[in-house]
Amino acid sequence: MGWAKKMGEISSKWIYILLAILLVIPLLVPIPLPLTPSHYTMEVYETIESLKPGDNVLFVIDTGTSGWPALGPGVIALVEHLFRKDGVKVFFVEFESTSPPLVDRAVAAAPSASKKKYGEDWIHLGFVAGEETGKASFAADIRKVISVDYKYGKPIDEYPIMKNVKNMNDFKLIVEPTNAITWMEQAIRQWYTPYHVPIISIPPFLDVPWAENYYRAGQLKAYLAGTSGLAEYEKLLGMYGDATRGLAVMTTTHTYAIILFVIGNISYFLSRRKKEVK
Amino acid sequence: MTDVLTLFGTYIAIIITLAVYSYIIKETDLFRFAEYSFLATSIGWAILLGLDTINNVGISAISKGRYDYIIPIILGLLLFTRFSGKLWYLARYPVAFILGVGLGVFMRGQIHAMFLQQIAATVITPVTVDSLIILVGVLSVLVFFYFTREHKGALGYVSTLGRYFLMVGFGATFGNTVLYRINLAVGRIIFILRALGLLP
Repeated sequence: MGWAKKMGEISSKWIYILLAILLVIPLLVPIPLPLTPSHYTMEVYETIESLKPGDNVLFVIDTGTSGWPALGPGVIALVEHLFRKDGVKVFFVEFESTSPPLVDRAVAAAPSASKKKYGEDWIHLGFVAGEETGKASFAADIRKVISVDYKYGKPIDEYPIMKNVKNMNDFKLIVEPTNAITWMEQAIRQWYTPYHVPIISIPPFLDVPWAENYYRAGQLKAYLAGTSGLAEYEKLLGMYGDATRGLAVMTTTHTYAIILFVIGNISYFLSRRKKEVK
Repeated sequence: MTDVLTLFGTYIAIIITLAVYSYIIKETDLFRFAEYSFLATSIGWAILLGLDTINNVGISAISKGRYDYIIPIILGLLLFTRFSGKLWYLARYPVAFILGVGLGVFMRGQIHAMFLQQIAATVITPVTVDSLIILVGVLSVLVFFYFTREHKGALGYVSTLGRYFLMVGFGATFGNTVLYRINLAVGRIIFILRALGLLP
């Protein structure tokens, strides 16, 4: 069983180099993959579709810059969908400190943003300090934690969009893509539980099993799960974004990961058996 | 000028990205430079945002006659007495205040949202295969963490079942962690390929 020993001793450097190759090639040579939106994705889509003119949506980007490469395509797709809805007003706010610059990036990447007017159709309220206490204060009275907007630093009451918006009761929907499940749990505790405003989210992919608990309990209205969820959403909107681009990569790299798991386990068990025989 | 700055920023971002992934080969000075730069930038950014918040929420309110906003600013300043040899104990007051308020706000939602609603969703639910699996999973995992009696006989079987449920849960989380990490790498590679003009 010399091969098993050899397989177990492959340098991690070569494993990563092959992984890098598998990451790059499907991006340069797109592989078309069948994509059927799951009921999770459809629920997010239909929730946004059901919004009516005049509805206010609170868009909380808590992905942070570190989560943006993975979750960014989904944020852009959700912003685009909201901007396609006539009369729906979008209020961006962040409770994670590195997230404020990401709003401009998401809006710039959404094709329908050019049709929307800042201060009337959307506004960037900026960063609110204090995490969970900040969320509780924001929900009770927005003006107690935000006095000026993030984009121009002007008093928020100078913008027409803020005219009838005082607290959480004035929002119809919360959209919260997040880089940690704790951010979503804070939103459930401070926003959904006391105010019953429905929340849709993109949880970090490692926390999808936890998000399912809140979805089943009805505390989370809907969520996009993993790269496939983001790619399905892009498909529903007729966009060819980075999630769709990345889907083929996920397929090749995960097939590679499964092969490595199998080889690693076979190598481990054969080596162990050899030691036991000795 | 803006285009030149954007181009400069893009190339810096590419170099930093490659520097971070150089850790795959070995921990190089370039990796450490990227790591320390990230930490320094994050801290600098957080300080800037903090000062901006104090100015926009606190100072502006005081200038409009809301003198009660002086209290949180004083409490904030008291945190720095920690560096003083004599007055260090004063830092305990704002810490106690932050912890007290934080815990109070947290507990307000925690009991209802994270305990009662989760228990209700597990127990009061239409009978489907999914809901039965969840119910059996929850009960067997609870038995696994029940240490008052030795896990023997029927209790032992249920406890073992609970352990299998936990392993499935951790496996799913691990699988999603691998997915997420690769996805982060995909995002950075798309950024690099796009900057090099290889992707639209």
